[in-house]
Amino acid sequence: MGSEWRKTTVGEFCPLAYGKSLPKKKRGSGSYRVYGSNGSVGFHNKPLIEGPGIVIGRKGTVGTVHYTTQPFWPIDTTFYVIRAEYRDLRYTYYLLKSLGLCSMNADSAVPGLNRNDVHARKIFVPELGEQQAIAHILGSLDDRIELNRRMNNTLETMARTIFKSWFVDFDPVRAKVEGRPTGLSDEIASLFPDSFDDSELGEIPKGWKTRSLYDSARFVNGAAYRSSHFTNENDALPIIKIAELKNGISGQTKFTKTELDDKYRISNGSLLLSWSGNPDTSIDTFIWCGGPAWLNQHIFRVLPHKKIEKHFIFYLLKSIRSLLAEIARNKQTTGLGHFTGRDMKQILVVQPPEDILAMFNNSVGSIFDRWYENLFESKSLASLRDTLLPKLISGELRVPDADNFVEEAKL
Amino acid sequence: MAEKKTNGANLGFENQLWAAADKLRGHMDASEYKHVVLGLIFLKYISDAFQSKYAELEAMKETEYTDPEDRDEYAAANIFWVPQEARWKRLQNSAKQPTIGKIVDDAMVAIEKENPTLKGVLPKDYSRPSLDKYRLGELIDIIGKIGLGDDESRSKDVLGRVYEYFLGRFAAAEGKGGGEFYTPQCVVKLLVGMIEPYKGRVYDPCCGSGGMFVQSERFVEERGGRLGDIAIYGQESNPTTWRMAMMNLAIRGLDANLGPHHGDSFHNDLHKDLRADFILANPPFNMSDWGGERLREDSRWEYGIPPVSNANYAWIQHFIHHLSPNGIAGFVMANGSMSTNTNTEGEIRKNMIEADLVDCMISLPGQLFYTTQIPVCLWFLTRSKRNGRFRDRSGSTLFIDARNLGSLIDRTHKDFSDEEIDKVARTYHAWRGEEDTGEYEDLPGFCKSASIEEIREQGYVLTPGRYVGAAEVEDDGVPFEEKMAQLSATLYDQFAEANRLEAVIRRNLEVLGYGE
Repeated sequence: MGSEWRKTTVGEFCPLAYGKSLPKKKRGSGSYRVYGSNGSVGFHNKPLIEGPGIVIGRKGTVGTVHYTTQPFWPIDTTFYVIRAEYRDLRYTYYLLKSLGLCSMNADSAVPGLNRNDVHARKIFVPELGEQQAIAHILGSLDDRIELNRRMNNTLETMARTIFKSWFVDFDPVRAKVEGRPTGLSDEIASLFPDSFDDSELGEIPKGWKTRSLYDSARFVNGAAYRSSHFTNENDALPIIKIAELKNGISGQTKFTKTELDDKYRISNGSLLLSWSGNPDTSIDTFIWCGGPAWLNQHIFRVLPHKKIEKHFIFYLLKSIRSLLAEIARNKQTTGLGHFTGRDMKQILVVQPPEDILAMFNNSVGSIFDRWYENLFESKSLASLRDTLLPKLISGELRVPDADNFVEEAKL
Repeated sequence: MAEKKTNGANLGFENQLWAAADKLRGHMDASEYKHVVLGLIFLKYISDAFQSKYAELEAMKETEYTDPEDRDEYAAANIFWVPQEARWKRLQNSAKQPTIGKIVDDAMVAIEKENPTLKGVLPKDYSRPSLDKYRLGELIDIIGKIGLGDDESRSKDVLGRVYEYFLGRFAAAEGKGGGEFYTPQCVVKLLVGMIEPYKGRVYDPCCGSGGMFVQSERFVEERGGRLGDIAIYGQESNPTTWRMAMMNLAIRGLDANLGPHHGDSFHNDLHKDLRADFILANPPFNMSDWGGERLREDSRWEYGIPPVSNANYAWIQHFIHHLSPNGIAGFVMANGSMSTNTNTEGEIRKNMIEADLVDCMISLPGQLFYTTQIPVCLWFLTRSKRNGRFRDRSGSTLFIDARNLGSLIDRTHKDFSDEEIDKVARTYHAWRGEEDTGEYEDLPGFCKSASIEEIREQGYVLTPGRYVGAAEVEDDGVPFEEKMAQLSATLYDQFAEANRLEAVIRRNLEVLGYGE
């Protein structure tokens, strides 16, 4: 296969250029992305290169490949590739991704990628039309993943906005007190009282209660796994630490077959709250969607007292993330911070009556479900892309009648 | 051209000087090399000071019948007498000889012999075989050029600042060990700017190389006071650090009582009866081997017996013990001290709060110290919140959250600008009701004046973040209706785009032969 494909080298097909130094203190506050070897690292007020372009990690993190459609600034720890008439840039991006540049680390002290080594790599490339077809097939999958990410942002903001309006600002109650319309359907509006009570939290809607965060659900801390628990056997389950919550299961993930108490076993949809780590990046609430697994310590599994409280608790925890991070930051000792059950006992939160919780569950339930579906869909799309990529790039799987395909897709 | 004023010692050439001196370090440890370099700088300093007086006496010889070789003249002017064989010129001339190590040692011995106050202070092991004599000679050349061509008296000041600059650089080069003798200048400046030691007794029971005193003196000078306005008392447990402090203060012309020798402030308090008006300190963080098991009973533990495993609350009570009735103490502590309930620590803190000792708490950003990246805090304690000098602040405490201040000076270290130091200090001074500082006001996310009841409600935790609150970041201020309208519109667009992409992906898969 690939007989009519042209044999060439990376150096000939898409020569890599060196990025340009831009120290942090010289960076402005513009809207042009600055790329380092690990992706976007900040912004500047002017670009070095007109987009689109490809950035490849050269020093530090080696061989990562990023694609950007916007003007950008690649710094000196990177290489970059720009557009050329004779090749498709997005195809070039997938081509570079398929080369396994990450394993071409040349230096011993600081990881580094040698440009000559990369340029010498032999590759087979198809005609421009087929390049465009391949880029389109893989690109549409990536576009959808990116769209899902953005859509999830919208969905999450939406749910949190409703949460804040109902349970933090008490907008519907306030509107009723002032005799204004609530803007909600009568069915929902009728559930809200029309006056306030005093409480330890300040004003809360009449008839509502308060409780400590600690009492608002059951918080089960994960188990302390030791290295003796680790195994590589096939039917072992992953152990979920903060890293897995943030980046999913990876090569660093540990597996175990040791069955500790069943309460540590999590599955898709489990509500998790990490309570130790870097306060700015690691303290957060997550919904697990990586299949059956065991929960490691430093993460709470959050079990709502009642089923209808699930969405309320999730957005409650999301809404006080900055408060929890703040507590952790105040107890920071080594760059890591944490909060404890004791702190959670001191945080007071509202406890709305059940009919309102049920209504909230209904209204935001569908928003949440779509959010959750998108997570899964993106996972499927990513594995589809990763399966197709090597086959399409090697020519093992060909796009039939590529020129016609491109014509129809109006590329 | 306006001179750029940065953290104190900036002469414009220290950098090159440091680079030159550091190049000669070779394989020697920074911790060892600093004694070699700092000793020589000190020697050059006292020699220059002596020469300057010498020249003065020489000039007046004919008219005033002064004798440049009369040592009383030097004692009267508070200048060290430097015997013939120890004068810098002689060292300089012998710099290239293999016996230079011995010559320096002899000079140090001769100076100590003539000046009892320097007894046991100067380093005297320049002749040791491990010290490369060629490099030593080069180093003498480099140091010999400091202040050269300047007026001699100015050259003394320059040497003082070079000494200070080198202390800081050595602290950085030593990394973890460096913090034992050096507190970053911006932290010292902030402490001094807060408590304003303008007149009275200043005390630091863990004084390191004496940075707190140098900065206090600078403060007095800037306020138009005189050198003698403050009396300095210090103590340091590490013998070599104690010597560095003695030299650092001598080079500044500061008359200080650092005790007759080094000593441990817990077990051998050299200033037992001292009640200081100002205490400034940066004790070692979370010290666990302070010999607390031998000090279960002590008059200093007024608010509770500190745990054996951590000296933080022993230090704090040592400070309080030495505070005069109207005195104020400002010191650095690890963040844990503000909230710990380990052993007796929570109880001690509670008792101190109930006794209304805590005047102000400041949380600082991380990365200010060479020793550690951990964020630290500043405590300010006073026995009297209504001493007439300031407004009556009984029952209230000022909390300042300064964690957002400071900027990175290199990849791992932060520094405060003078403006930032001024902002924090002014907030405190305004709160104390000092003149010309403006009206104090709580500022969410930055400062808050809290009552003792509020501190009780927080379970006696002193972390400023708890009181000043977080500056509102979550709320973008867009009204609910408007926000929902925007979000819905975005979502509908995204749904449409999702449908389009779904169709595209379906078709692409069909083309590849994987239709539904």
